[in-house]
Amino acid sequence: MNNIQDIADELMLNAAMAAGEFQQLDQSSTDKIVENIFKAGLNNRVKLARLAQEETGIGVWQHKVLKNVLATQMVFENIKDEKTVGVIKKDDNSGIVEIAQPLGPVFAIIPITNPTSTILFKILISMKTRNPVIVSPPRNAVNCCKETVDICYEAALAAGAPEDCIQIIEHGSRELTRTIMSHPHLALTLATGGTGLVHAAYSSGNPAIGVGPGNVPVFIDKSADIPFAIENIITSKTFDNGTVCASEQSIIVEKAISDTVRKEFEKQQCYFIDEMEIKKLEDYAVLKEKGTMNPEIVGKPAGFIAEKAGINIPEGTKILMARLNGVGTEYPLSIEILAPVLAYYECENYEAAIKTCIDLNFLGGIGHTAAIYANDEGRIMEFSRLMNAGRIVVNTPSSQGAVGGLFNTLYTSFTLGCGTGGKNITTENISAHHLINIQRVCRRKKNVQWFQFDLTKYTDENIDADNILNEYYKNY
Amino acid sequence: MVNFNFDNISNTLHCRFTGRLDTENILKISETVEEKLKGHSANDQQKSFSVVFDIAQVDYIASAFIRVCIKSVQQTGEGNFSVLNASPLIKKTFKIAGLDKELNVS
Repeated sequence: MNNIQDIADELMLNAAMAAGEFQQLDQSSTDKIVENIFKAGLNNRVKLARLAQEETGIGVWQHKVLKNVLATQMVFENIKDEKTVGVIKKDDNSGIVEIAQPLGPVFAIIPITNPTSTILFKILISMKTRNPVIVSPPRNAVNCCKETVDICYEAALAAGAPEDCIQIIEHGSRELTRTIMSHPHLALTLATGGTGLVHAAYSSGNPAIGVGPGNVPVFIDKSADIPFAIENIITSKTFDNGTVCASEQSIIVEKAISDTVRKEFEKQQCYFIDEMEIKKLEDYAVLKEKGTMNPEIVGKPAGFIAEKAGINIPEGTKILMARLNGVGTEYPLSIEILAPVLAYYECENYEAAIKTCIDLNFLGGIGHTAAIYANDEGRIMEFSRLMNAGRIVVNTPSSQGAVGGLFNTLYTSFTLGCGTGGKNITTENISAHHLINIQRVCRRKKNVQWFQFDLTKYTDENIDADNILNEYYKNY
Repeated sequence: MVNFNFDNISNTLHCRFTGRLDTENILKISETVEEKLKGHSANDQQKSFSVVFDIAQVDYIASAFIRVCIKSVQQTGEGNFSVLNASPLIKKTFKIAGLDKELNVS
């Protein structure tokens, strides 16, 4: 079978038949499938992490193990007790009963930065909601993705899941991806990937939940515990060599505390490059004509990047710090870089610092994540109101904080909604509850005001809105 | 799990299924159904031959059963195959699979 349309039709027919079978399952049968997959994924966390790192050359396998744990154990903890089948809510007061229905086949697009963990996550939330899933792996991570899918599928079948409830495209192409995204039998694309791909999903004519890119500003306020803040930032930015889209991209401080902050970064093995070195790093790390990071540096350690850029750094350097004087295309290192490289801004005062955070937030990271270290509640809230971010993480490593589950009670997710600013429908961390259609059974419940109101008043042009409201709520 | 009854007058093979038609059970019966269909279509090459799957006594179908239906309609030709007495939940299963019309499900 060579024709793209035939391949898509075959995958979609399999998925549609699985969807038909799936909708017959009850909550306990569904939960059994989810539990089996969770256990299989967790049992294979190390193997899959190693495979992903070896195949892609990106990140740190030990950190990918933790990502696999997040994607299985933490996601399972989130969803295991959720009602996703049949009646999920009944409110006698309002007279409304909510019934969960599956969406139908879900197309799961997987990023190269977190391949195995994103698959585990998307499969778990899809199975919990009785939606068959078709996995589209990135070209350079097909084998680790296939292994992940095989492990999950075997576990699903053993627990009584429908045949073809999980499928993978082993020989993908852009055309096949687009054909599936717009296929009439597809219910939803869960698009985690580059901007172009997410945009294609939104333009497909089928519903899509996508993500936006990040460009996370981190404001360290003078009220912050500085050593604590720097330690957390380093932990987060070096996690899997900075591949998480919610990882810190820029540090913004007031001049008054800048010396202390710089010294602390240096003490904790971060290296501030000078102006000449910044030029060298810009030339290597950013594809200036495209205005994007060089894919070669994604998930690579600081030493590798420095060597490639021709910069000498002390051994053991964890992060390359680049002090910049502005934000935008003239300052290439101010964009998102998924590697241990941080822009550093020293601002005249608090107001200037916040304005810089806004500029960075709006430079390709709108709607995603922003971070603040502070012990001043007023500043935390002011910063939060001024940022356009789905998640404002406070005194928390941004990567792990935004993903949820470890440092806060956000849903653990590998698909972070970025709101309309990021061209998404939600700012939430995507989870199982986003993958159900909720039907509302509405019992007759009279609107007392409406039925006691003299409706002929509406047709009288001489009665204005205030009079109508007074009458409508009379004796209420 | 499946009984066959051939009606010579209408030249129709009635297959009455009972119970839970999950993947495991379908594996056990799919070959028998296929052979039965082959046998009748070979015997009646001159006449139009119909197949009816009666699933009044079925409470669950796996996608494997839908595959058996697809194979059967391929053998009989569209218009000569039907699925009768599907419960509402099973009718919805065929609807979701997008095959209720092709398989003439009622």
